[in-house]
Amino acid sequence: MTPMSRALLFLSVLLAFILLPLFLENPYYLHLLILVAMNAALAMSFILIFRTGLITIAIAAFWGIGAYSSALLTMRLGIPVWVSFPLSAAISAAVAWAVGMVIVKKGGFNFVILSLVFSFIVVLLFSTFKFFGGHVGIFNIPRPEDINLPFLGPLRFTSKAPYYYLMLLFILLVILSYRAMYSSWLGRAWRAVGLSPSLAESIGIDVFKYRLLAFIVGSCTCGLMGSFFAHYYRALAPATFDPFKSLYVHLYALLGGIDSAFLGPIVGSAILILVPEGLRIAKEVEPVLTGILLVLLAIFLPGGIMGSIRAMFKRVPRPKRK
Amino acid sequence: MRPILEVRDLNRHFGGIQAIRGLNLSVLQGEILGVIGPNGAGKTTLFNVITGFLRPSSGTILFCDRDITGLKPHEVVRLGISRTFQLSILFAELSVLENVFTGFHLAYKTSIWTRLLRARPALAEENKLRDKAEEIIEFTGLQSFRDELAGNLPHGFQRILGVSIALATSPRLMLLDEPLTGMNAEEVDRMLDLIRRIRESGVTVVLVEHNMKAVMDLCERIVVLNYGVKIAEGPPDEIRDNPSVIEAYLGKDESAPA
Repeated sequence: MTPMSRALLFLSVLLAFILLPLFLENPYYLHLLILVAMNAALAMSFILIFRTGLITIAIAAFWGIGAYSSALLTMRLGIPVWVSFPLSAAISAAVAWAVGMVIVKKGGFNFVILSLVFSFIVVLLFSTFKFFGGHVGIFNIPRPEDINLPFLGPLRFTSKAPYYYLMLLFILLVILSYRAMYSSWLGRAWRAVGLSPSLAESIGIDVFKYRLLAFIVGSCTCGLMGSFFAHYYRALAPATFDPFKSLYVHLYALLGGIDSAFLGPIVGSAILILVPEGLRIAKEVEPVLTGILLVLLAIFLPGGIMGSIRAMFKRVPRPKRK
Repeated sequence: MRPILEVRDLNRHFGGIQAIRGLNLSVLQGEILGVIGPNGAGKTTLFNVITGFLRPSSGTILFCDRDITGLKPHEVVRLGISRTFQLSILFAELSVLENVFTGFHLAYKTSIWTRLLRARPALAEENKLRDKAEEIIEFTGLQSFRDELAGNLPHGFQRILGVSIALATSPRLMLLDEPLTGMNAEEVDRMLDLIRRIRESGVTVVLVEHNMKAVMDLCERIVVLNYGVKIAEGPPDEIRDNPSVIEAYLGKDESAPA
């Protein structure tokens, strides 16, 4: 595909999503699309960090940090929600920086375990301290303030459609900024670090610095999604952000295909969110089915859905692993 | 001639094992220096210590009169020392061109923000570096494999690709760790020719190698290590006849008169 036709395809898909609320009568469908997009963004962050060779279990933790920051900023300090979105993302990034200085340095398995430990600590803090709302969580989180649109009148966040458009804006922001990073020397350095850390060092790439940067960028995205989540659900409970949620995000990325930075996470989270909803599977049974799916995926579809589609279209021999 | 690299009193031990012991070594500007010695003599350890992959236990390393002891690998490259690895360490999933292009990491002058906004100077710079990557591929003779995945290259060309990536960092000194391992005669000739041309372009070369004939042909000067100690140093002819070198490789001849 030429860049021109690729851009046209992207724009027409975007237009379809912009017009979609006009045809979807049931707000429940918009709600599902919002969930798909939010989780796809989390999976995109996971993939960004994964590409530098780090498997983080702290996706949900930073999602939670963004959500709790935003709730507390708006409720305790009276900061407008619109200011709180970038501020909460920045707080998540700052925490990722501080924590990353310690745990990214370790790398490999140590990083996996330490990111898990960090996730448990975060959930424990949320559920223990009254300041964070304790076990019951936080309620009555404000909606985003109305905005006066020219010609269209005020936009009030009382129905699903404004949230849908806000999420569309956010995911667009994530995709475009990630794409710009991937195609630059920054993305090439990340890829080099993931493919071979020692060769990357030998060509002048500071492996620790670039891994830390990926960890910060990914966690910042999670924080933004958390902030959205707080003002969309308007209630937070600590258990939402436990490490299990991270495993689900991993699954979205794996099912979609870990080599596909954008379409994979969207396809993966769409299937894993819409199918259980459509089949009306009880929440209690879901983890069992998800576990089975993970095993089947690892055996039969190691490249994920996008990886298999790509392999069908062009038969490129995979390089020999040494 | 001025030394480009000086190693003074270098020691490196792993627990109780002394891999390098009180080593003094000078690399002269513009030469091809061979470092030889039996397995376990400390040759690769020496390379790893110089390039910052290992820290020395004690001692000093000077590059162009600048103390580089204990710098990190990515800082050492920045100063102009690049290296290749004993194993074919490559970005196996990337094409040959992308491998070399990735090697230009240090060459970018425009900020990441101008690049993210796709501003013209950043894109122009990127195109220029891509052209330079093509030039390197042509120089090293990989143009027919340009779009091949690095992992699928024949072994000999993988080694050449390793050297090509190292060249992309515009080094003044190159350390080649066993560049001829596992090569057939034709591949060896191709690599030797490449190393000579790299030297002609003004880069000083140090190589660790087991292929004695090639080392003798290629190098002006040879340093012999055994159990982490330098046991001989000099031009190939001298090294060939040096009794302690022969002893290190073949063992002591007990029947010979003392």
